[in-house]
Amino acid sequence: MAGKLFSWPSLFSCPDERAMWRVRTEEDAQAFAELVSRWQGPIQGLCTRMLGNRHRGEDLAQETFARLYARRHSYEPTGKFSTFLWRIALNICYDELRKIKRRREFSLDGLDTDDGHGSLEFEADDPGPDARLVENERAEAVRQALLQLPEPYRVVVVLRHYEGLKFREIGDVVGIPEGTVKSRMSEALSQLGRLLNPLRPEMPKNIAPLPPESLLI
Amino acid sequence: MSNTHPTAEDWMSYLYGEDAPVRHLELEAHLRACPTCRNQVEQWRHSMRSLDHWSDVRPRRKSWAVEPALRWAVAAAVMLGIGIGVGRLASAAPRSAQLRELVRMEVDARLNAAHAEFAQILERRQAEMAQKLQAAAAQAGSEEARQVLGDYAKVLDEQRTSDRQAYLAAFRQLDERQRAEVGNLREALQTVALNADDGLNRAQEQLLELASSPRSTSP
Repeated sequence: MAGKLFSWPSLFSCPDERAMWRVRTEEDAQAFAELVSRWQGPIQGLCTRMLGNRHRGEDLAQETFARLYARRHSYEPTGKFSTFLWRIALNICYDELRKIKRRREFSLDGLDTDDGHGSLEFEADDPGPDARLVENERAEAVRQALLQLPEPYRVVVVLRHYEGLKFREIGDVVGIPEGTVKSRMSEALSQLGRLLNPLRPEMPKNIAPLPPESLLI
Repeated sequence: MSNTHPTAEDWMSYLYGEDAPVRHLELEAHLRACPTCRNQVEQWRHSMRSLDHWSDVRPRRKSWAVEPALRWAVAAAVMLGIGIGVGRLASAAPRSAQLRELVRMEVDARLNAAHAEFAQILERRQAEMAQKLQAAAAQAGSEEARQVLGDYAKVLDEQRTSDRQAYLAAFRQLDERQRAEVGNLREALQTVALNADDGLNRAQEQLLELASSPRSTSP
């Protein structure tokens, strides 16, 4: 009887899965609102960094949650909710990037490489105009560098470095082995290093690369 | 310095703190001895620091996985709540018979009050109807009309009386049924309470066993 009254795993399990299960089975609006509130920030962060534009990131985050609700019946409680949600968000980002690429093929409006509006916004606790200007320039350089990374590398960087997913979790989301995630991360960091070279005055001039066998994927 | 360099995957786990402690120490030792790897790792570290210049655009996810302190706090609160609940249950056990008697008295009192209120309403409405009929008969012009109205009032009164008896019979039946349901509910609650007591006693015994068992020696 006591075992039925107190189920220990239910006390410590992640609430996301239970909330999503309520959304799926009972169409519980409150549970869905709780999920949106909990995940809006990370999903906007992912979309913003994948697209390089905050306004588009916000739009895509809204689209992600709309699609999440529309696909609530395909959610399986045996899987992690976060993996389910990240995949939806990534697919929406990929779709948007494909649209941008198609538009770029037919017009001069390209990816947001020169779109300062809505791309970078900073918190109010700035240290002063000069320091803020420097920070803005650095942030813009990073944004540009990220956008120049191939998408498979950019995804790994955003999910690992900014959103804090483990390499194994990224592998689950993207559908590749953990080792491949790590090798893509190392290659992404190497490419970023080359792209951001002007920001690295303290780096030695001649960096010896790792031996080839250590970079084999 | 070892002959073979760690792989890029090893270094990524190292840089993001996902490697085992022993492996971490091995890689640190390798870094101290190998300038090639040291340069490469420093390059990656610099890229990581550069990424931080694009500061977070949104608040981070409140992940349960990265907030172990919060989880432990919740666990402590849950354990505290269970302890308080067990204590309250244990202290309330000797008074359970008294509580059940109080519940029974409360239910009986409410049923009796409802019965009395219903009877009063019925009496009042009958009296009102009789007064109206008598007034109508008094105002009637002819003797024949007064006779007809008087007969009608008698029939109506008889009808009301039989209706009242039927209402009261139905009410008594409903009353008995409710009392039976309350009795069943009381028995079910007693069963649940006894089972819960048994389960808690068993859990307490297991905790005492665990507490009294000798600690295993660390490896």
